[in-house]
Amino acid sequence: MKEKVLFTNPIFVENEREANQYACRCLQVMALIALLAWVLNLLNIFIVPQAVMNTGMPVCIFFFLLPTILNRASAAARQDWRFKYLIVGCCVLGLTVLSVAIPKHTILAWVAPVVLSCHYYSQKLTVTALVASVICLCAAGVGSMFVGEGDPSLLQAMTVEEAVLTPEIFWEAVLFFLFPRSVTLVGISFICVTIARRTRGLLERQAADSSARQRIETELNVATQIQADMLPRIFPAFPERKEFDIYASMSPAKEVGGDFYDFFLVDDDHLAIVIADVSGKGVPAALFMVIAKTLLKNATQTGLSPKAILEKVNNQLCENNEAEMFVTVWLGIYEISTGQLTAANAGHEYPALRHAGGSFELVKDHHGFVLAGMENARYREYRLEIRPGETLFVYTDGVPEATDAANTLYGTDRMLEALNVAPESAPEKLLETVRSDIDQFVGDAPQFDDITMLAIRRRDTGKETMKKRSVEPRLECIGTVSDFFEQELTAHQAPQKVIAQVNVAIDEIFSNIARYSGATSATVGCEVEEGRAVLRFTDNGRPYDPTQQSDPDTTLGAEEREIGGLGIFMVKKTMDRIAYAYADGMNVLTIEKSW
Amino acid sequence: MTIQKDLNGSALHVALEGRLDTTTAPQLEAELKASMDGITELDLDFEKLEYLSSAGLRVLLAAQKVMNKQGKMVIRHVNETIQEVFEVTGFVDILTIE
Repeated sequence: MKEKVLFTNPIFVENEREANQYACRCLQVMALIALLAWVLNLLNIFIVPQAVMNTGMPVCIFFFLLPTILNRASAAARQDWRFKYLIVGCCVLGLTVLSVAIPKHTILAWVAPVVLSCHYYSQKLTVTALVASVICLCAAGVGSMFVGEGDPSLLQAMTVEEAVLTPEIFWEAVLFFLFPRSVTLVGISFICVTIARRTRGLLERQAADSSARQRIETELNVATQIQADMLPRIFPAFPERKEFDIYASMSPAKEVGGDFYDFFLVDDDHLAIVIADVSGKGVPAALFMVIAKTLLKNATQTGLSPKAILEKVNNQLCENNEAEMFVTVWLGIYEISTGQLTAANAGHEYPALRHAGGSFELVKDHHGFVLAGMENARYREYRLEIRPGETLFVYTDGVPEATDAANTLYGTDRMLEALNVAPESAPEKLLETVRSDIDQFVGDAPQFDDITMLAIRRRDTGKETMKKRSVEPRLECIGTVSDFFEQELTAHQAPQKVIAQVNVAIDEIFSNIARYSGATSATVGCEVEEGRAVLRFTDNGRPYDPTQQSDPDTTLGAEEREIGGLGIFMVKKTMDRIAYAYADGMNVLTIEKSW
Repeated sequence: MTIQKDLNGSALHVALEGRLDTTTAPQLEAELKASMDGITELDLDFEKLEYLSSAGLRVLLAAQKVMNKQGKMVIRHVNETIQEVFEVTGFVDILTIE
């Protein structure tokens, strides 16, 4: 039973295979030595009777080579757990034959079976090898006195014929040669048995450790995924809302982090924005983050003001906060129709606001105490107006506290500089710019803290920036649609390749609408600015979300290929973004392409 | 889209110019259908083709299936945009592009 358990562990299976091979090679060397002894005897350098050598050596060489032959010939044999017993057995028998002939020269070789067996980390095998060795060593010793070089009288007589084995000589040999040799062998074996037992124990413990570590790693990966899934990550988040653009990103420093952002509609006219940083890192921070995020969202959705939300959630978090964790939070409620923002700050970084036509500046708002720090803490709220074209940028301390190799802080000044490189860019571009500036600053130094950023820009809806055109949803009108878009793109110096890709996308999307939606009216809209185009297709057909279509298998051969689904797949691949919404009885599909 | 056909024995050379999309693909499909009988070598020249959509891919796939049975089909002078379309859709493995 013990042997079977051994095979379930891959470390032992691998070791056994390697040990088998190694032992076979050792036996080959021993076969070579036996051959050499035979040759030397033929040359009369040894004085063993030729008849003894001529019968003994072939048998001896056969024993030494048998494992090698079986190892090559049969996979079943070499994978059998008994193969190692066969190897050790062959080794002992080969040595026995060799020792009968030339006992003096082979005495040290008797260590071989025990030492070889050590390699298997099996106590049972090593003990077996020892017992077999001692028995065969004695048997060979006795045997050699009668037929081989071991005959003590040879030393005096010099020729075999004159040698006489008296009982006195025999007992003397047993007492002074065989007994001490056997005892030595047993002594050495104790070391080998200990090595086998201890190494085996160590390997077993290591295997158990590594499987435990693997389990933890898998669980951490799942946790990271769950955490990432908790944050709204699909952008544009509200494709049907033309009043604002929002974009956010989080990159954890460890597998799971304590930073989070959130945004959601409280009602049709109010958007809640949260950015927060939990103290500490790793799993505890992530768990606390989940609680904080849930409580904040629940409180916000009851329609409370930012001050009231923070006060309520603070008290909730303070209950049973044995781990003494805390969280810094900036929370704002943005009124979409007016651009009025009501916000409160619980120990979080200053937000940065860009005034239209100007540059980003920090809003030095009043900092309350961190959440979960002290019961009944009071918070102050303030109002701020985001005017059309203005952008608000919030972040966690991972941004200003990013450090380079020389431990210099990135700081808010560098952050503002990066924001002001192209302050008018869309939120996504803005975050990319800051991120790449941080990466450049940090260089090869490791990322210590989570880096989380969020930006919201109020669109300039005073003048309708999206040009629109009504088109009949018929295949014949595709040309009209592509002419309309092409004109806009060319006017903004879009590269030829982008125009071609957009044309393909138009062809795919519009032909789908014309063929399958059953729509009776359709509108196309286009907005092009600074290297980025947004195209929108609106139709009153059946609700259908093409982004949910599964991707086709692009590895099939010509005969199995189907064209269905390939069109939308191409759009997904060539455009930067594709988003679907169903609103007011209309399918609204928005695609974006930057260059 | 303009289609220029050039028949040389059992070798057919077709040069396309313009855009191969939902509106023009049926045109190419009809032209190929009319001339593919007995053709063992079909040569499609994309030098002046701007782009193609999935409707165009459908026609190319149908033509390739026919030519797999009766000879070979080669597409030449593919521009970058079209090459990318072939790559993302896995068509590079189905078509012979030179």
